[in-house]
This record gives sequence, C-alpha cells and structure tokens, in this order.
Amino acid sequence: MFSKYIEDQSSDAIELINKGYKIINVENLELLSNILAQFKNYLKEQNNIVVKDLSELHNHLDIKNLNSIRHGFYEKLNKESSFSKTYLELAFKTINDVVGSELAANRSVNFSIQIPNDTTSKLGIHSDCFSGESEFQINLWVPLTDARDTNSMFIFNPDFSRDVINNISKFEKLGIENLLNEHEDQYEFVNLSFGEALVFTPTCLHGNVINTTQKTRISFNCRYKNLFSPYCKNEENEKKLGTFYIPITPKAATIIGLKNKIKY
Amino acid sequence: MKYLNGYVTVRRFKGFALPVPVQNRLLREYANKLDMVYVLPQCEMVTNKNYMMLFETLDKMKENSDLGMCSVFMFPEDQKKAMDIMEIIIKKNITLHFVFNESSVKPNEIKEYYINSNIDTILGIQNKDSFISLFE
Repeated sequence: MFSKYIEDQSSDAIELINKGYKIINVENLELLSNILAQFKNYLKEQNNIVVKDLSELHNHLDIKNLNSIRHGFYEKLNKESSFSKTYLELAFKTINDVVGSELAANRSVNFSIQIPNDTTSKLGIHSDCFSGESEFQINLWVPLTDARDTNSMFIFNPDFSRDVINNISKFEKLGIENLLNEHEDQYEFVNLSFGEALVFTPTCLHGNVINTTQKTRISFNCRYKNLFSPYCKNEENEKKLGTFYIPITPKAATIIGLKNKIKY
Repeated sequence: MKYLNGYVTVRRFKGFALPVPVQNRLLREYANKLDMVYVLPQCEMVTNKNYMMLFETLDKMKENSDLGMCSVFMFPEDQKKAMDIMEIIIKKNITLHFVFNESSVKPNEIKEYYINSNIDTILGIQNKDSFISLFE
C-alpha cells in the first residue's frame, strides 16, 4: 500500500519509513554548541556545578536534585516563545523533507538527563500514540553528549511495532516490557555522537532502560507534524493543537485563508 | 530514600480530565511533601478500559513500595479487573496515595476504600431517577 508514493520519497524518507529512524548530522552545529554552553552556564550559575564533560555530570550532583536541575533548564529554554521553532534549525531540511513545510510542534521541547543507575527516570517501552499523540508526527531527538548502548534509547522496527500495537488488548495484563527480553532481534539501541541527531517515528515502540554505562546522557526531544494532519479527537485528551501542539510555520495560503471570514 | 511511583492517565475518570503535566506536578509536589523521590510514571493507554500501563507499573514495582495517582477513580470501573489489580497491590504490600484526597491507603484497606468510593456506581445511583428507583 502507498508504494507509488513511497517511490517518490527521498532516500532519507525511505529509510525512515522502512527502519523507523534515521541518524543525521545536525544542520546547525553552532546552535547546538550554543545550547550546550547555555546548559553549562546554567549548571554553574544556578547550581554551583562546574563540569567540563557533561557525560561526567553524575559525579557532580545528588540524584535528589536531578529533577529540579532538569526542570529548571527545561523552563529556562522554553520561556523563549517557540523554542521548538529555534530547535527545528538543528534539522530543518530533514524535517521539511519527511514531515512538510507547514508544521505544528510540541509547545515545549523536552529535556532529559539519564545518569548511570538512575531508576527514577526510566521511560518504559511505549509508542507515543498510546497516550493519544498524533501518529503523523516525527520526533527530533538530539543529544548534548554521546549516546551509546543503555544510556541511549532503544527503538523497535516498524513491522514488529505495528503487530504489537494492532493487538495491544492481548497485552493488557501481561504488559509489553517483556518484549525487550523476548525479541532482542527486533530492536536496537541507537548510537549517536554529539553533533548527530535522531529523527524517528514515535509510532515505533521505544523507550529507555536503566543506564548501566558509566556515562550520563543528556538529550532533547521535540515532535513535529504537518499542521493539517489529524489530532486526537477525545475531548478530554490534551494532545491537541493549541495546547500540546502549536503551529510554527504556517504558509501564505494558510494565513490568507485564516484571514477570510467566509463561513462554510 | 523512599520513592513514589507515579501513575497518570490521559483518559477521563469519573468526570475529571486533567492534563498529564498537571497530574505529574501534583504527584511530584505530594512526593516532595512526604520527602519521597518521584519516579517518572508510565502514562495509561488512550484506549478506553485498557489498563496495561497500570498492570505494568505494578509488575515493575518492588514489594512494600508506594504508588501515587490523582484518584481511586483511575482504577477500572470493571470490578473484576479492579479486583485483579487490588490483589497485586495486596500481594506486593503496596501503599496507595490518592492526591485529590491527600489520603494514603494501606494495601489491606484498598478493597474497602475502592468499594466505598464507588458505592454510587455499585448501587447504580448515578442520577436522581435511578436513586428513586431503589425505593420502588
């Protein structure tokens, strides 16, 4: 199905469709370095932590302070209106290629710190659509440190993920966490260096495990979707345009249309 | 150090609908107040009547640990499924924390707490007419 459309896609897009993810070079390395410097400065000014190599951050903080540090920087970055639009510059061409040019993005860019052996920050195996997020979105995941093995995230392949999701009621009491042990050949940990970015479809099952490496991983993630692709219809669900998602790059025709007062 | 494992949902529960970040904030504040460390929760499925993430959360929790959520109304209305969940809670000796009521419920009290909280549903008293019908 859709093969005639798939033929027209770029090689990056075809890889994304087939594999569920694509690793790219960050398009604006200066911006990423600037964000890194901002975080180091925040650690120094607000938390009295001076650290040269962020992968050693765990040696400088108490786990009890981990969330306040994480949340403090998250709030600082997202105070800037539409940081999700600035963050897009890290992979602007790729996102335009695989999602489109008229975009909606998460209102806030998420920020994650995974220190070795931390049991409080584990995000178990899931698909973003489990909680009502759009199936039409792409996640741009960018680390501030190298991300390797268990300090990185894992992702299952699209076919296996679809099989599980389409039969999710079978897993209600069993859960899906066991899939990690039982289907080791169906997923992989993504290995990225600083300066690389991961573009993936969060319809694929993904998550992280307890970081058993000796290195801290620090990363951002933000989801981008076509402004006009579907949103969750459940009244009570907050994953909607205007709340969870905001429009960031409407084009001229859309702006003209929005100004028009004709009722249909 | 004591940990509070969180459980949040994107679904409506007994008329309440609370964004996940707000549920997390309430739970985190509650944990801080009790000098506990808040553990990042799994968010429940959007699919109605599916409680996979609650089962999974309980499965991963250690014995004698603590689980926090906004309300007991986040438990299944289906009493058989709710009982299955409460059996796990009792077996693992998990203490429940319901933030809306600021109440801690010991595992041996959870069934009574659930029944008392859902007494209107169990008796079928959800509106005036059904209440009157009980006396006819």
